[in-house]
Amino acid sequence: MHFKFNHKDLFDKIKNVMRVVPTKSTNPVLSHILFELEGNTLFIKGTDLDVYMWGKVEVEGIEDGAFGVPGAKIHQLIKEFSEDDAVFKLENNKVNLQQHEGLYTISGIEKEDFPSFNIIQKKLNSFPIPASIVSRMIEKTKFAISTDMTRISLSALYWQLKPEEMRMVATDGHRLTLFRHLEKEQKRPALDLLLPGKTTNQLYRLLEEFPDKELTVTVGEKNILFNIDDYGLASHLIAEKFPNYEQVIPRDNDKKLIISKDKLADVIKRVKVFASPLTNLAKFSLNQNKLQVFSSDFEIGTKAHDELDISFEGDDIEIGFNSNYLLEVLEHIDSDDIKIMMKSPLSASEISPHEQDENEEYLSILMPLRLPEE
Amino acid sequence: MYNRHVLHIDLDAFFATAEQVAHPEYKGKPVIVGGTPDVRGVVCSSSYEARRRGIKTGMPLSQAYRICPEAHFLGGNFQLYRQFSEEFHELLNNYSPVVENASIDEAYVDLTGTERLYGIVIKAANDMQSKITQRMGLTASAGLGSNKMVSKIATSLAKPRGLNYVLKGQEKSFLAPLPIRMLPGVGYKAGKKLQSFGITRIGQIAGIPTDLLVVTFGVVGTRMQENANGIDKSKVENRLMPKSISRETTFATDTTDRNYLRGVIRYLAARVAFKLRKEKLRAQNISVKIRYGDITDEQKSAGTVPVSGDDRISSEALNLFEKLYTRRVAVRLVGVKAANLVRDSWQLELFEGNELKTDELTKTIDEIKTRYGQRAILPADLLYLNKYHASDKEGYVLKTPCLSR
Repeated sequence: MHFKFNHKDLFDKIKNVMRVVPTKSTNPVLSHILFELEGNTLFIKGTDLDVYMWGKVEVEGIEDGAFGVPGAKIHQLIKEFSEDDAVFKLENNKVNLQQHEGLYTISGIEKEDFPSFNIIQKKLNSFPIPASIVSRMIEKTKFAISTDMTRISLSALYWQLKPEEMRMVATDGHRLTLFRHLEKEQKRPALDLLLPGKTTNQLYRLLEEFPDKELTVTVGEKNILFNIDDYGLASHLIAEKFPNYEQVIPRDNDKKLIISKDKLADVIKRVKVFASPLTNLAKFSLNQNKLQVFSSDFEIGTKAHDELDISFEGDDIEIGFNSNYLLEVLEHIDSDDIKIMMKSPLSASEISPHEQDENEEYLSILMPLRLPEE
Repeated sequence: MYNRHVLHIDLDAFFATAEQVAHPEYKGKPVIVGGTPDVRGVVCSSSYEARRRGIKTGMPLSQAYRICPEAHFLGGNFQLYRQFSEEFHELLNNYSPVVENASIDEAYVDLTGTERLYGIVIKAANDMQSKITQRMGLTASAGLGSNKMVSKIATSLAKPRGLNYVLKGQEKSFLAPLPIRMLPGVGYKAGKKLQSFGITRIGQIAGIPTDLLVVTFGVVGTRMQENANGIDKSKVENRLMPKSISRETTFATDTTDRNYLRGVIRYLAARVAFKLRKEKLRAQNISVKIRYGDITDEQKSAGTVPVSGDDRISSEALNLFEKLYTRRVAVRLVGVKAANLVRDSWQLELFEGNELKTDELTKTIDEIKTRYGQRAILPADLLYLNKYHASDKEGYVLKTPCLSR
């Protein structure tokens, strides 16, 4: 394998592919990235066995071939190269990198030792979507994905594609986020996909780099493939069943609070400092014109009380929330005012932006913390 | 800075005296609480009349009967003792905001800074003792010192009805002539070891370099050295929350009947769970203890999400029991304990909606139990215990009911 390359083009690809390469792994093969040259096209591939990622870059090909090199080393070296052309040459199972008077030699692994990339055995569907939409949907929902790997179906992002809308749903069993994107009828298959949390994060980072491009999604029986710009990302899909989330979306919450997002967030941030770190409980006490927020930590003897003038419709209520969960929900809402719909201290509350675009519906469901009995 | 004043106060021969107060006919007579002499068991508590004849706590009942056959042997009325105990602790709360309930019949009262209220602190101590006698008919012994350890040892030398005051600066000389076993941390094993070095008095321990004690006894060596010098930095803590709740029982005869053992574990677990709910607590750790017939103890515990339901605690306890009960030796005692207790709020689940229903169910069952007794409503498989145990309103009559918190 022998080619001449432009420093910047190659560096960008390596940088992005390196995101999936594990920094610590019991399998040394995975610390490598695979270089594959066909004519003037060079593929750079990396994987942690859950997510596969590759970038494509045009080079001046001299001799085709494939070889795996230690990712971190090559990444660091090319970063330090000057912005000129350089040469990559494989000789006697060693890679020589040459720029100006410098010669850098490194050993690596054969292509055969690198994990195989034939991930889509049977292609079921393929369709394009604007990257900006998918990226926005992921950004609004992924924070609620569970990190508890014992509940696999919750450690994933649930992506529902229907002819006139797309939905993304995430939940960790305590809270749930739902983002609906409504659109004109699309020539797209109806699909229910469970994307692993790790894949979701990698996809989001990639989409962030190309907000104006189109994302191509290819769905296989057990796997999924995303293509954008010169990059590809592939992963398995989770075969489990996502819980029946529609069932937990409250339909009859009759207490309505409209409040400034920032004002509420400020109060919670303050009150949280004095809350018990075990529960992060912020207790809300609501009546017609006042919201009082309380916290306390018996262990160190702290007590907090803060209040806001509000407009509230419904009977007075006392309800407890995990302040971290609540803050995370608020952080992801764009509008200035938010709407909180409540029913009882033991049932789920719904939080949504007070104003939403007509082609969007975004909501978070938060299960309360049970208040200590007094 | 005020001088520290810690009072340790302990009810004299609590169970036995409580029986004498409740049943005036026992007054002035030897009373032994623990069971009737025909069952296996030990003396739990005995009146001073019995003690004068040589009855000691922990002595087998059969032996106690040989020594003192005319004594009143009683099984124990724990509800009565609990009532007395609550009254006792409530009374102490009037004297200081910092009262630590060390057990059912003893407490530490931090009197630091109360001199202006009571004059000299010894007056307050005297007052407590007389109030206990006036109001409850019981007697208490007390020790006053500059820390918990010293005052507790002072109490033990004041029994019965006495009051010992160890002046500030006198702690070391007060402890020096006392036998080593009176020092906290010196149990049977450590005591033997120290004796083999010719050490029999606390004062001798005080003179041993800390390093040497650490080498011999590990980290506790430092504490032992401090204690022997009259130093104890531990605080009197208002323990609003018990550290753990446990229930255990010794069998009338050792048993290998697995179904029976499982039944008893379930029953004890339900009793622990009931108590947790009554105290509005949840446990994050469940443990099971087995004592085999050859008096070897084994214990296993497991962490859990905060629980207080019968089902969750029973199934966890049974799981642990299956892992624990491996020897083919008859079992003498089993116990279930809930620890790492929390009394706070907890996060509700979105998808486990029936958790709330279970809570409601448990609440209703608890109401029935509170009103009609522990056996008014039971899991059907517990009926198996009917073959072995009589029952009353308080549940199955097990031996040595345990009130440890």
